[in-house]
Amino acid sequence: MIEIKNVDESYVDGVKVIDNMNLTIDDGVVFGFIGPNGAGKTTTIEMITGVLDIDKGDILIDGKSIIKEPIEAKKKLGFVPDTPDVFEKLTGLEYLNFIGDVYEVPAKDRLERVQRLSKEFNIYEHLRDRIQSYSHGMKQKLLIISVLLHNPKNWILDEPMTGLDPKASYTLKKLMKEHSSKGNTVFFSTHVLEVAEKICDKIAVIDKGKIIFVGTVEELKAKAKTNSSLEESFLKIIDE
Amino acid sequence: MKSLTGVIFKNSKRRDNQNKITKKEVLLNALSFIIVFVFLALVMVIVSIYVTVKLAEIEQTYAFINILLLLNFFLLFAKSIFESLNVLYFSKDLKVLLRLPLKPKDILDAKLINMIISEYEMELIMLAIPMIVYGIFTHVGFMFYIYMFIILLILPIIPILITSFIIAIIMRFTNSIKNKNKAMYITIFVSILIVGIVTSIFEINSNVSISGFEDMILTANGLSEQIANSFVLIKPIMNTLLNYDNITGLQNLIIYVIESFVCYKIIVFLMSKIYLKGAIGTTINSTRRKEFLNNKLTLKDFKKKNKNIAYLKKEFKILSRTPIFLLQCIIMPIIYPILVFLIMASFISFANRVGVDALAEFYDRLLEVSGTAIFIGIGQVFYMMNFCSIIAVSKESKNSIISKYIPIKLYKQFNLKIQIGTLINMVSGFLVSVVYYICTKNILNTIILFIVLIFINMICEKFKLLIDLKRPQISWDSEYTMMKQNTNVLYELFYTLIVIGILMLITIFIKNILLYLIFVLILCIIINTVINEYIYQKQDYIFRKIF
Repeated sequence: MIEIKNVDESYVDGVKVIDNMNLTIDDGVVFGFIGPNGAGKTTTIEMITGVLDIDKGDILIDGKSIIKEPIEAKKKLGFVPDTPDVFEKLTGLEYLNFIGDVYEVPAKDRLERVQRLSKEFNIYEHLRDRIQSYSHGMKQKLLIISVLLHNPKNWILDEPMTGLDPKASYTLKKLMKEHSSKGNTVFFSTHVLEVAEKICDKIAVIDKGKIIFVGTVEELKAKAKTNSSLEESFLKIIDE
Repeated sequence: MKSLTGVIFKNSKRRDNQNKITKKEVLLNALSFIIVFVFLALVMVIVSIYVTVKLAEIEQTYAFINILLLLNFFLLFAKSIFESLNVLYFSKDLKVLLRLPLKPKDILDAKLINMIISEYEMELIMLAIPMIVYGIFTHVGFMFYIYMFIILLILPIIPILITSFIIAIIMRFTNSIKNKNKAMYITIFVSILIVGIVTSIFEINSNVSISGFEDMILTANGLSEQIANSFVLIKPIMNTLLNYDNITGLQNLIIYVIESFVCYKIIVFLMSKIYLKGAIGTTINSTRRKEFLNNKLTLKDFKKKNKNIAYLKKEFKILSRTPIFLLQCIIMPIIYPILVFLIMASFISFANRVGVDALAEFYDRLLEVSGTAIFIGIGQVFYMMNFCSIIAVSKESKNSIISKYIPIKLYKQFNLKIQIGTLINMVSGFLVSVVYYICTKNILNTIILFIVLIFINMICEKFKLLIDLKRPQISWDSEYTMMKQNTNVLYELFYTLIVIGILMLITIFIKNILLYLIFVLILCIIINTVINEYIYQKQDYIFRKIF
């Protein structure tokens, strides 16, 4: 469970990029975070994961404050950033082992998870190669595997489908659904509204640093007074 | 071409995460940069005055200009090997440039001009300031400064062009090597070999014997003439500055300008014929799937390690697997002190053979506190030459944000990041202590000196990492450009001068060596504790620029 409480954030004094945000992401749901470019999606995600300091308010990960108990909170989440920047001089296997060591994953679990996930994402044959030889999509897959390696309760993914091939994209969506069905949390940002419509149990719409809608896709359509696609409802809400 | 040159320039010069910096911070940064720059310029002025006076004493004043030009010329050659390779072949912008409808010549022009311009910063401190000091000291005329300005503008052209051409030829053939790092190492090795051979053939045409050297320094300005005659490639610029007040100066300047211009045109033309193939080769991703298929994953591949060891291993692998990091952060910091002491030893032996007791004054000083302070200062200078911690964050590029979301305390990560630098510095600390013991034969003082050097090492590495965290450079085109354009090194240099200043200042008040060492040790322990406390209390704050 992720709770965002009265959070403010500004890059330049007096200009808030996140304005008094309150949001609760319950266990057992796939939660989509949508909004136009520059709305504050990545900033919110980076605050949840501890990458960015929070100016005001607090964020709790399963009850642990990212400000007061950062290590405990970070142990409870797995984060896939929006750009697949991975240590390029390491091999895929070395990177996964590094993450495994940091999160203290037993060797047996690592072997089982890496074998299964790397085969599912089709990069098993490349794990002994330096990451610098990977394509964008392969790096993205490696990052996703590294997050799933320590089996965190809360998955936080920033634009996770970018660069993935159709099969990998399908696999990831399936894994997200499976993870939430076990009572865990999946929170992800996306520009691809079809993805949000298909797999999200709940969505939040953010614009200019403010949450302007929280609910199900159907509730959004009802609010926008339209029966057509999520895309149209989204555009209508944003225009308002 | 002009627009492309401008884009490459802006992309390499602009710093990261500027959008979260307040106006006050921008002003403070600018002010601190100016202070550091002025301070370093002053140091260069003092050193230049000292060298000019010493050369004047033995009637070799003119040699100052020649030695200066020679040193910078060789430095440019050495730097160009890495620079050409990284900027022309391993730069991140290549993937963007290669898909644009640009001629190879346009890309080469833009990149080479940027490489030449980027040398001007170094020239400003290393060449312009000493030359102006020399000019004032020797009362040269106005034309000297005009010629000097023109020479500074064109000096980097020939070294950069020759090295780039050699690299281009090698890359044309090594691009078939699928492992990029292997290709890089081979290219660096072969280039050093060829540049060495080329500079030896074209520049040194006479050997100086000990008796010849003796004769040379006994003749007024003999050293200057010897240098000018031995290094034909830069002879015209040496002659220009030394004959600024007559027609010979102008003639030589014109010769050098033509030399540089022709060299540029011919080499760029030739390089444009072979550049694309080599450049494309470096952007192709490669894998070795066949090898892997016979090597399935087993439990052996997943040995669990302590998270601190895993973190250190990650740091070491990044450093050791990147050629420029390996050289600047691991190999050179170990080689520098060995080289310096070897050169010193051979210099003493040479001086003794020509009947000069070069260290007589220094030996007398060694028995005083200032001798010990000088040894600690030498240790600090060696520590400064190790770039491990000053790039500890920047080297990871955008991957550095991982440190913010993994469950390891930032304070812990800070201490882990300085470990490799500290460990490597121990080699120079140990060497300084050994030489100190050889000179003083005092075991107690040597042991305390070694402990002092350990503390100074730790403080220095922490300070370097604090600088990198304060001004991280996480968006870069290539590892080399990140290191080269890293102005944080100036702050490190400033810090070193402050440390040396404090060490010398204490010698005014304490005249007993043992007491001096104990005092410095206590001071180091206090400073180290204060820094640790600061890092612990402010860990979130000092890592705030990483996002």
